[in-house]
Amino acid sequence: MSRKKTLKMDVKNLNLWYDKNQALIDVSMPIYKNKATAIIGPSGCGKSTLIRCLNRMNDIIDKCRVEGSVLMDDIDIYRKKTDVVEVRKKVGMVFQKPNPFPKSNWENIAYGCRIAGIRNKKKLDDIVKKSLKEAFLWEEVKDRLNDSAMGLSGGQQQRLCIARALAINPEIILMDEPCSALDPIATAKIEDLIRILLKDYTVVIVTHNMQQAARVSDYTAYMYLGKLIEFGETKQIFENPKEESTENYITGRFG
Amino acid sequence: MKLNLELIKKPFQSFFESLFDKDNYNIKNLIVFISLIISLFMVVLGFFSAFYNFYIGDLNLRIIFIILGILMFFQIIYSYLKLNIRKKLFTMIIFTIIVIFLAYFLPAFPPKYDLRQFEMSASILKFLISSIFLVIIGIFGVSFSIKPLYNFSSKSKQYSAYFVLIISIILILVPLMLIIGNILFNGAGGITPDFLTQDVSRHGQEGGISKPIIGTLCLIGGVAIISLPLGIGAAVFLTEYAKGGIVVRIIRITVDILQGVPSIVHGLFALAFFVPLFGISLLSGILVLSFLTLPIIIRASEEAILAVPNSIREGSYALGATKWQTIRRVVIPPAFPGIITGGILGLGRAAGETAPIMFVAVVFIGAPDIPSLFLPIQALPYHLLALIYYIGAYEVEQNAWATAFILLGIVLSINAISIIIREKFRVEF
Repeated sequence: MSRKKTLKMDVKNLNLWYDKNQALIDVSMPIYKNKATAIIGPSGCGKSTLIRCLNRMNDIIDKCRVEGSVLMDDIDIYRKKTDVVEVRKKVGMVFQKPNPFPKSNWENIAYGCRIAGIRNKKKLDDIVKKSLKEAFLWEEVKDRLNDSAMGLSGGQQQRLCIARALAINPEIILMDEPCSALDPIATAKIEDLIRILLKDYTVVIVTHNMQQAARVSDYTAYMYLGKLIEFGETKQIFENPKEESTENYITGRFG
Repeated sequence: MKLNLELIKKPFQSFFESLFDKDNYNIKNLIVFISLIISLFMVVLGFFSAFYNFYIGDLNLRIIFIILGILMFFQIIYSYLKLNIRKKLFTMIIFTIIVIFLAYFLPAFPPKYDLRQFEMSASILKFLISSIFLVIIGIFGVSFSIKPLYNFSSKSKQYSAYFVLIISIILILVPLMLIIGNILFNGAGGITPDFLTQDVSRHGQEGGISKPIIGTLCLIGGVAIISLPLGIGAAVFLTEYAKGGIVVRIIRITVDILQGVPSIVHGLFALAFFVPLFGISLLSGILVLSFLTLPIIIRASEEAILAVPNSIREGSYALGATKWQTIRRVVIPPAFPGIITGGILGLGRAAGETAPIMFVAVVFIGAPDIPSLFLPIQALPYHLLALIYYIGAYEVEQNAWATAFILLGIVLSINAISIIIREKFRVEF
């Protein structure tokens, strides 16, 4: 771990309501550049809600109201002038269940670039190849780029989704329990991938698996009932938690 | 489909074994057994009379139903006194009441008409209805009387459920095949090159149906041009853009109501609104048929769009796609087969409708050679209707069957096209 800490994103006093239920209560946390930040906590504590705030995916949900601010490179992504589409281009997202489009592998990867207006076939080919290599999927799919992505295995599909997110060259990648539907081998592959991605990207990962958080992340945030209980370096959180609630959760006494 | 004979054989086998089990012999089971035999007899009789156009007579019908009713009555008394199967009792009482009621009602239905042309169909209706009721009541009787005799294991329940499902499939297929077979058999003989290429003449006794065919195709084409884009657009709006809200709910209800409007009411509406504007013309017909098919298309498209999982929409948004890009590139392509299937089925419906167009768009004879939007057309369903009215007065029966054959052919090929498109573009999630 390098000592240099640059702030990439800063969540400030974020409150979120689904209709009348408050799902996030006054959450503030930093997200450091080229570091992996893990968000852990029991089910329903708002982890996924929080990560979806970081690229404004909650906008699609009816009756969802957000207060507070999320600064990305010192610019609030929740201010009125922000173009949501631009935010999402900078902040890629990988979902819990692999969700490739029912199109070919090539089209899946090229999708983001094509909607951004890149038409040049040669350039798209290069991007597809580069992204697939980054996601360590190239060797497995290079001969079937034109086959449907639905034919891939679950782990391959998830890496395809990561490659798809990488293709638009984001600055931050959000992962919402990316390994929960995968077997240990595919999980290991994705965890390795995350470590490598940190060279160029900032990663935020929601996970249920505490070992995974310990293996992958540099910083860990523990959430409980919509509140951020503790945030700190992963080592400190796991070895020497300040809050009792964190300790209970990490040692498996509840949650 | 592979039919495993074991599935059917086994429950019967164990049932017969239970019949010859000495422990089972008592008065109750005797009653039950007799009602089982009667019910089976009813089923067989019902099928027999249906296939051989034979009506067993009012008195016999009454006797059979009354016997079954009395046996069921005994069963109920016995169950109530001796057994603890109160749960089934209510169903059995209702069943018995129905049986007794039918014993009175069935022979009197339907009443005889004096009109000569109706007499035939009335008697057909009578034997058909009586045989259908024989079969249905028989099957229920069998199921009621088989239960106390034989203790069903969950496995044999599984077998019999399977058996019943197969029967229901067959029952669905049989009428369809009868209709198609009947029209094929009666209509194919009248199809000649002249019939397809000449215009109607002498009240449909001579000539062909070239203009009705052209007219119907024009109607289908026009309806497709108007209602497909409108319907798909409306469905996309309802599902993707306007989520929830009172206005959307009202629109949905309106669409459903529009679907439920009887087609003749559409016809009346068109007569009042379109005919003053466009006269009796192809355009009026296209417009009214579009109204008729729009709800079908909207509904089918909505279903197809909603079947696209939300996760891939989110995947698209997360890549920086706008709403429209998401709809166009991610939502519509996998929904396309469903949309187009619904659309084409709607067109098939439009092709076969008579009531909406009969006052607003069609003439029996004398449509222009080259169809014009503002002049009337001849259409197949209306032509067929007219020919049916002429039966008896003119020699048109053969041509009526042949027209039905062509109309059915057009509608079926439209459906076939939709199936082909659906299979070709089918997407797995």
